[in-house]
Amino acid sequence: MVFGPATITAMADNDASGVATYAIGGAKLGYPVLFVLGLVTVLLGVTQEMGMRLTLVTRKGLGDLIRERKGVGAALFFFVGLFVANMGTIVVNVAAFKTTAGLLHLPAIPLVIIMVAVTFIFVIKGNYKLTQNIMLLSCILYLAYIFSAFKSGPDWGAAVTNLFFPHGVQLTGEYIKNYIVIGLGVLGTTITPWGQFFISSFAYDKKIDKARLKYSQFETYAGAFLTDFFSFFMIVATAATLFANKIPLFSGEQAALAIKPFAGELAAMLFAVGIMNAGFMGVVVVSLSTAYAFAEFFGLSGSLDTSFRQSKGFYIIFIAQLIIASFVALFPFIKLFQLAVASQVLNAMLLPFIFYYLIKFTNSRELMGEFVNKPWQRTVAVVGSIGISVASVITLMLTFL
Amino acid sequence: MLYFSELRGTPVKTPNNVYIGRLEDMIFNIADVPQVTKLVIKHNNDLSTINIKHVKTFRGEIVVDCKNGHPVLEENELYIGRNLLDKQIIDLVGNKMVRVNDVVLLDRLKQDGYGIYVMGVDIGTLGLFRRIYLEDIVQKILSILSVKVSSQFLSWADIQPLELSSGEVKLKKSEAKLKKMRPEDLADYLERTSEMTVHHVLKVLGTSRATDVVENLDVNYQKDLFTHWKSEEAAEIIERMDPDEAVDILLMLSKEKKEEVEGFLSDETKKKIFHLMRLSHTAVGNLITTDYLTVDSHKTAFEVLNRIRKDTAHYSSLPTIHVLNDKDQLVGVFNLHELIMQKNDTPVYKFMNQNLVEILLTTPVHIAVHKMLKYHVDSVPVVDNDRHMIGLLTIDDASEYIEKKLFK
Repeated sequence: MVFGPATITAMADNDASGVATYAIGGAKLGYPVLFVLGLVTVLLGVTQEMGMRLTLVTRKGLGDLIRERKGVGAALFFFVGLFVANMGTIVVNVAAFKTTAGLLHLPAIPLVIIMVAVTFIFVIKGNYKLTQNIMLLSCILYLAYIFSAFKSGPDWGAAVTNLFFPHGVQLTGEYIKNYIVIGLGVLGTTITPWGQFFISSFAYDKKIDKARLKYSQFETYAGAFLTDFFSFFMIVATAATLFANKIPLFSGEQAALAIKPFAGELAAMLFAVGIMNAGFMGVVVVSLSTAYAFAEFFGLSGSLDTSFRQSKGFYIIFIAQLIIASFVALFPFIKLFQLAVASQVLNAMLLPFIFYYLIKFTNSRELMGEFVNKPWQRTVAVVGSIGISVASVITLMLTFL
Repeated sequence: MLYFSELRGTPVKTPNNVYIGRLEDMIFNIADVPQVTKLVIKHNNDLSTINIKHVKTFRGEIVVDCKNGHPVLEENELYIGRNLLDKQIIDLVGNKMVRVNDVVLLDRLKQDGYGIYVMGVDIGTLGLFRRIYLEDIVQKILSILSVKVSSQFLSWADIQPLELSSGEVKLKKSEAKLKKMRPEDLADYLERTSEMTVHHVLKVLGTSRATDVVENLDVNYQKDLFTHWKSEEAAEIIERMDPDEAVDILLMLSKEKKEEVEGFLSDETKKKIFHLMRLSHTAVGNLITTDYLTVDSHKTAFEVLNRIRKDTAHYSSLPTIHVLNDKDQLVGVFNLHELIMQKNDTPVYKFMNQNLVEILLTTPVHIAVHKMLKYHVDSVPVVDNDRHMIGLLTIDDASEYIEKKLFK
């Protein structure tokens, strides 16, 4: 097993909604959005590590603990929130198949149906090695962004310094509004609610023992760095090509433009295949994570190793999401880039609630013993949660007022 | 039939109608028919206990005439809300883990006061709806659709609470139910709980049963367990384990811990373990055991039976008996079936199989397994170049290897 749980979670972060959100971030905001990425990477590392440590020490998933210590009401709240946020993400990922169809001049509806059917078969029949290989395949698209970023001749000085403080752009009211909303989207697509639940179920499944905690901790930080490493180049590539030339980002063709410096005429093809792969990964991981969370919260058996009859609830939830998502995504007005940011903002808004319990549990000496949070971890997580809550409130006000 | 979820939050008063708080939890004693011993009341974030004797009225509203201090668990007591509700328990009948959605109680007014008994738990979906106050609506809808749904109830006798990591719990009486479970299954469940709970359960089981369970735990969890166990207690378990399992565990520990634990082992155990450790550098050596029986070729069937009864009580299995000549070389084998079919005074050399299947320490595991499967034997002796036996490889010990190959 080459990749650990944190690395896999991190790879799945760059699903189609991730790629789309980062691309929009770079295209609409330019280099300054990298500042958000920098902060988010730190927060991601800290919260992933907390989630993994929580599971390794208590041997329960986050969903288990919320149910056990806060009861059915809290479990229901989180499950509904997770289901809605995940549905948004899955719809966006299915919409990616439409974008692929557009770029490759294939009929949209059949492609969507085929991809969803493939997802279904893959999950039911697939095994670990296959999943790993598909994740590796997705790296090819990311590499394309890296090479494009280099070839498009960006202002590296601006790019790197913007990781630490945003600058170099005219701060109009319009820009700041977009910055908050899209920034929240970037956050929500990097630190996802499903990721928090997924990493704990996953670490539990691999039976990692406490003694290897240090290695696992290193792995979570490395995973966080890795995923945002790719995101950095995605943003730079779109910032240098689309933002610099004031090209708006609404369609796959425009996004493919961002990798034209590297791929030339093949850009469209490469982007199409890559986004389809990213979409596939997103659909698989996110819909599974909802099903696992359901099993954890409500105490039903939930495992792919069991038959349909044994884990009815689990399979039904999994399939229902695919069906609902396909149905919704096929509406013509559902387009990848329009929806991506909105769905990721929804994800971000759920985070403070999840962090509240994550921090509470990892602070509890009764649960964690000697592995309780260190003060700096607590501070980063609390400050992060407050920041996200403030940004969420502002975004809600901007949307409805 | 009362449900704990519906009782929680009931206001508690004195006979003079003075409000003293709300029912927060109940403490019960885990006898065969578990009975509530104390009520836990919450008032302004303070918890206090009411002994069951002081409960005057229970249905509708709760009236009590005396209040005590902060709740404390006596021996063999558990909280209903804190230790049972929403927790995972073992369903002994269905042999799986389930989550407690509600706890079912029965109240009875006796001569000397109220008796509140814990009947069992509700693990069904209706219980979930009850917790969010939707049970009545859901039942109405279901009856309109003519769908019959009954609650899923498990009686106390058929469940075993598992997650008891709260330090206050002092359970001593759970062995009877845990003994009903196969160690392999109990190990599976323990893998899903915290280390503290595992320690707790193993203590309650007694050393012999605990050893069976420990042997079946996943290797990573075994390591966790032994690293944190006091060396003397760890040694007690290792004494009773199969020597090859014991070696595996000892080799996982840190050097100091290993030496500390070895200090507490008996000489006989140490001899067996060191012998195996010296052989563990080969793949086969890692899997073999020293628990095998050898007899002289001139012994009679009757003598062998007595030998077995005397010497092999602690063996986990006895697939074959091995026959040595006077130079201590392996010359034949036979199994229990063949032994029992003989007349008492038949000497061994007359019925043993001389067509030996054997392997060397350097034989690769897959060849050893292939031989066992080809010749339909449950075990194969490991010999050195002079045909002296140095260990036994059983198909059981190789099973992990086989499982890995089959289910990769």
